[in-house]
Amino acid sequence: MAQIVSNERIAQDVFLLTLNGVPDAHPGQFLQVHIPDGAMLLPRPISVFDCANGFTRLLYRVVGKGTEYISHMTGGELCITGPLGNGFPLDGGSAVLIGGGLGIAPLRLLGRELRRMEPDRSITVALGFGAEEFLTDEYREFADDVIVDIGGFITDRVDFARNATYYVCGPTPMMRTAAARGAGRMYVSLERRMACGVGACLACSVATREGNRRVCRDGPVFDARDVLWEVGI
Amino acid sequence: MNRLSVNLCGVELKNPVIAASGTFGFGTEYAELFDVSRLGGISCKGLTLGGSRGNPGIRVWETPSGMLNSIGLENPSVPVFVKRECARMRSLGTAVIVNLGGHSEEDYLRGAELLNSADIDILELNVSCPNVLQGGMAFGIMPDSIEHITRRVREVTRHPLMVKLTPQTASIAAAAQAAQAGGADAVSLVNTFLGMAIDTKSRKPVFNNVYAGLSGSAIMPIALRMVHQAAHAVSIPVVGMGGIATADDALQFIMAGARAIQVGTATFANPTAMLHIIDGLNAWCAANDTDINEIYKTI
Ligand SMILES: Cc1cc2nc3c(=O)[nH]c(=O)nc-3n(C[C@H](O)[C@H](O)[C@H](O)COP(=O)(O)OP(=O)(O)OC[C@H]3O[C@@H](n4cnc5c(N)ncnc54)[C@H](O)[C@@H]3O)c2cc1C
Ligand SMILES: Cc1cc2nc3c(=O)[nH]c(=O)nc-3n(C[C@H](O)[C@H](O)[C@H](O)COP(=O)(O)O)c2cc1C
Ligand code: FES
Repeated sequence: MAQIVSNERIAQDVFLLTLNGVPDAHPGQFLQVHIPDGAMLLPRPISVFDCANGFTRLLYRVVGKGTEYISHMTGGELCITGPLGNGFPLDGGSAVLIGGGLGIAPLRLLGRELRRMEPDRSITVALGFGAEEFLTDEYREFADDVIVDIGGFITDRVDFARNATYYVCGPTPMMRTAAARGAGRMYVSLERRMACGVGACLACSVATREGNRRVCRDGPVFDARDVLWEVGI
Repeated sequence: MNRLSVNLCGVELKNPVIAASGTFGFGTEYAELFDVSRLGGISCKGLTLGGSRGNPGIRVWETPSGMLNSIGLENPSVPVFVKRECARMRSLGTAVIVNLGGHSEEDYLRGAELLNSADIDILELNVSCPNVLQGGMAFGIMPDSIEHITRRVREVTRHPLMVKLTPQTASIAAAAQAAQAGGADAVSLVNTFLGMAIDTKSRKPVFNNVYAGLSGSAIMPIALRMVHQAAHAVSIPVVGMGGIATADDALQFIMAGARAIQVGTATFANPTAMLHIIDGLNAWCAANDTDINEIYKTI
């Protein structure tokens, strides 16, 4: 059980939820958020935006009935499973973080952690929004350069030829484009509909060069070169 | 005193609560979340002789009080199970039930033969998977073919044989009787109900296979009725499932004639649902000063 500390609306349909009592996550891990009162059967997977001192923050967009339900909660408890999944590998050297839409969520904890590990490295963050930007200052805290795009293709604003590790999270077409343009190390965080969230039901399988892998357990982060994009996510 | 232990076709279960096939992997994932040795048993993900990558596209879809799935029997194959997973499953400290699917009679027979070398408690013959295009449920719709495939597998397997029935059949009583006539030691039911969902935005079916299997609370009253009908049509034990989420649900199935029960979808909503059910059954039996076997098939 996690306590809801706050649940603020920060943009149209976008909320920042602060919880207390969730174990600290590795960057790129997610939580299965159970909707209270048995209102909905399946838990909702949401990435950890940030965690520190026992407080975990989730950034989410209201897209359906589960996120709608959570957006109305102002206090009380939420049943959580997790943190789950593998999370991002924390490579050394320069890093480029690319997020599209709510795919920006896992990049905040990632960037903070990368900066803490190597204070002198170069970190570039590229954030693509649909209609309005939000929370970009949270990324400026650790990034040397923050590129913001509203309404366009964030992948068109990124130099993919740098000697850096690329970390990408966003809609599948965006990740697919990034994977096609990138030549070096690139990690993508995939999204699939889930049921169990722990690797038991195979709802979330994706095709990779090494055979099927479970997004919830073997992922959500994969080496972009291993994903068989043509098979479909 | 253990008020919950039951005997299922010669196998002693510490309680009648079994994890349903396809919802619990090979037991090792949930073993990280709770003490799975407290369960009566685990039925593993449905295996096929050659393994399968499962279905492309969306595989699960939430519905009112339930869900549709179209996993398509993704599994590592019978030989890989025997080599890699079986010993690990045995070490979990609960009864090991192996769910075997197939696309042809040959598949079932070779699979069952290979499993003769494996240390398992019960073979659950899945003639009821709605999500594979060839075989699967086709074997389980007509009583004649249920009886035939059961008899053939009975001839080759050394394990107790439980036949898992589909609700997509004209008479569940006739289906259970056919399994019994073929030599089954038990039947389990129900597998999922064939359902459908359409994405009105794209104007396309949600699932590549169009139809998918419905499970969860939404199906419970129908599953309960079918378990009641099957249990009163055969003398072999019936294992009941379909939407069980609470101890009260489990009690209803047991009173209706289920020797043991399986829980699938409820575990997704609450990973420890089965432990709550076991605790609830214990508390109910203590409060009523009875044993689970005394309320069995009392309705
Ligand atoms: C690993 C992972 C991390 C995620 N992180 C975030 C995040 O940080 N912030 C955020 O806003 N969203 C995130 N998502 C997407 C989020 O899970 C969905 O937006 C959410 O489940 C929608 O639920 P709903 O009830 O509002 O929508 P509904 O459409 O009513 O949901 C119906 C069912 O479909 C599932 N579903 C619907 N859309 C998605 C989707 N895009 N991905 C997976 N399942 C879906 C739901 O979980 C539910 O089971 C993440 C998804 C995954 C897989
Ligand atoms: C995701 C999922 C996968 C399943 N896979 C299998 C399977 O491999 N073999 C099988 O016999 N039944 C399978 N089933 C059916 C369940 O074992 C069970 O019969 C059904 O879901 C009804 O029980 P429930 O409502 O408690 O889930 C699956 C069900 C679900 C939800
Ligand atoms: S959601 Fe069940 S295996 Fe990934």
